[in-house]
Amino acid sequence: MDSLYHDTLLAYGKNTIHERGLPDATHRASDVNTLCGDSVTFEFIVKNKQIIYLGHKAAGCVLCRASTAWLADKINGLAKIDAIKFIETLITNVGPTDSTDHIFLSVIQNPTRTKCITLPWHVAHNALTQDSAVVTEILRTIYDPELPINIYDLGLIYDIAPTDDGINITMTLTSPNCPVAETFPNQVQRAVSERLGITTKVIVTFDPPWTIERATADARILLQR
Amino acid sequence: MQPTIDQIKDIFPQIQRIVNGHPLHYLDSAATALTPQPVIDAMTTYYQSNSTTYGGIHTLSSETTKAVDEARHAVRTFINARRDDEIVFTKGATESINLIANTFGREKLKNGGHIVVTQLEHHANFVPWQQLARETNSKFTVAPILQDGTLDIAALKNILDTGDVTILAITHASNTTGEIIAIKEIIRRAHKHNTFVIVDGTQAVVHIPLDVESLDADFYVFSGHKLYGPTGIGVAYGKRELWADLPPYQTGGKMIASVATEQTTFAKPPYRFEAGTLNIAGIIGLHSAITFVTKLPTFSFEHERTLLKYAREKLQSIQEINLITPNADTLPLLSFSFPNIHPHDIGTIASEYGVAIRTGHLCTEPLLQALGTPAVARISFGVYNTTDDIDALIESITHARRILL
Repeated sequence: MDSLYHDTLLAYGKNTIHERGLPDATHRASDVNTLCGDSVTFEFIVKNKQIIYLGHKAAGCVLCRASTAWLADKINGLAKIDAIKFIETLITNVGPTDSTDHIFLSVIQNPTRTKCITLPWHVAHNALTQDSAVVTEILRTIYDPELPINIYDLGLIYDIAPTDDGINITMTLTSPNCPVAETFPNQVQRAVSERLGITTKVIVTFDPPWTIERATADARILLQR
Repeated sequence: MQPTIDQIKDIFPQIQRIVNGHPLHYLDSAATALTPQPVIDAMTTYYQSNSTTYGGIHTLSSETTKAVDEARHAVRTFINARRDDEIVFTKGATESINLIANTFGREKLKNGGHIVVTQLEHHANFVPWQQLARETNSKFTVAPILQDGTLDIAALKNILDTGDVTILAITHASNTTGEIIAIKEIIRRAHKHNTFVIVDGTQAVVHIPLDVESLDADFYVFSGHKLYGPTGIGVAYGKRELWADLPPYQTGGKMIASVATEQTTFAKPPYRFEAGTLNIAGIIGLHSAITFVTKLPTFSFEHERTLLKYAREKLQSIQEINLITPNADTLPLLSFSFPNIHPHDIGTIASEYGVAIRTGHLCTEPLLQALGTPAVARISFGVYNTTDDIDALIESITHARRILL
């Protein structure tokens, strides 16, 4: 019997070329398999729809670490959309469709260990497809000019929608007569586009109008004080 | 004449298997002990010559009835219960605990109360109580462990001495650390404060001579498959006076005295708690397993201790190994981990050498959280193991370290 731990897989398990944290990441996701303690973080800097830099951290078994490093190798430098497609094929087929490149063939014969290699794929997929999660983080750093609450928790953001070339944010203001109605949406647009390096469009709407019920419970308590 | 270890090994047909090109080295008996031929034969014979259920009047069914009654008696004798009707058959220790939690537990905690478990518990003796506490608005306390992973007996006694504990659910021996708990002393302390004690004997029953009467446990549960018996059969022992007034857990056939359209009268224990058709082959297999274990020469158990000592010495010599099992009078098992190798990698590589070990959280997540690790590797011994099995393990770990580090 061939060992599940063949040389290529072991080499990837020790490969730390992309092992780093990226504080300026535009896309980020983490997950933990609590059953075994495997944990994976993927971070990407995407500019002009392309992955220009990536970093990962994986802790746990060799299979998980190898799968993480291998995936980083495969998608580094790809257009974001191609990286997503590549990962979706991996997840669907539990490995690459080209069997000559399938370093995990021996692993998928062993169903109890398959999750070790698929965890990083799901994490990378989450990171690259969930722009909105990163956008949310950014929006939480922007505060209403008159209130001590960030615009996300205040309920001013109605929608975050990834588009082909960037992101559309639909938001409102606490009132149409808001003194910063002209400048504030631009401030939001700049914060997101500069941080993520993607085309960001902010659409302001007053339909429906904002009410205090849209704020989070914690924010409401702050407001009522 | 007493059999030799080789003769005992021959009773287990699984040992003959070649696994991944190697002879099987089975070091996972604490999960499931291998099944000896007499147990397999007893169950096969039942299906080949009988295969009927309990309680009918024809010859085959009355044979089955007799076999089940005899098995119940054998269990009673094995654990030294006072009466046969204190023995309830279940599908395993997990069902036994759920049965007790949902009948006895629910009854005692009707108006709330206090349940105590320990940090050592298997999920099977943790989750049902945690759930019950939530559902009955009862207090739920986890008695802590000491830094070395052993139960903090003094802390547990302090909790019991508050006098407000309704139920203590405690393992007789830890499936992860192997620690054997001095439960007799703890039960006595609990009873002083009118606390009821449910003991999870799943790991202990095959290694520790059992006397529930002397222990004075209120309930004691275990599974057949760790006792060289089949899976799908277990036992819930309870004191007769405690079973007597409890409502049924599941309702249906076999557990009734009479059924009318207006009302049903339930059967007496143990039948009240055995709704539906029993796992007859499992019961017959369990009886056979008890006979097998009872007849084992005493050196079999001493042999397991010798292996434990041998394994500890061998493992200790491996660099960086972290032995979790205390160096004390434990069950014949050893849990360990390495700082830079995941237990699952050890487990898979060991398997490539034909060595079967357990890895993961071992269904004791609360314990592993307290020990600060998400997963461990565990080896455990049965009467069929030899030093060859340990040598094969060491060889596989050496290989794993060579390729992984």
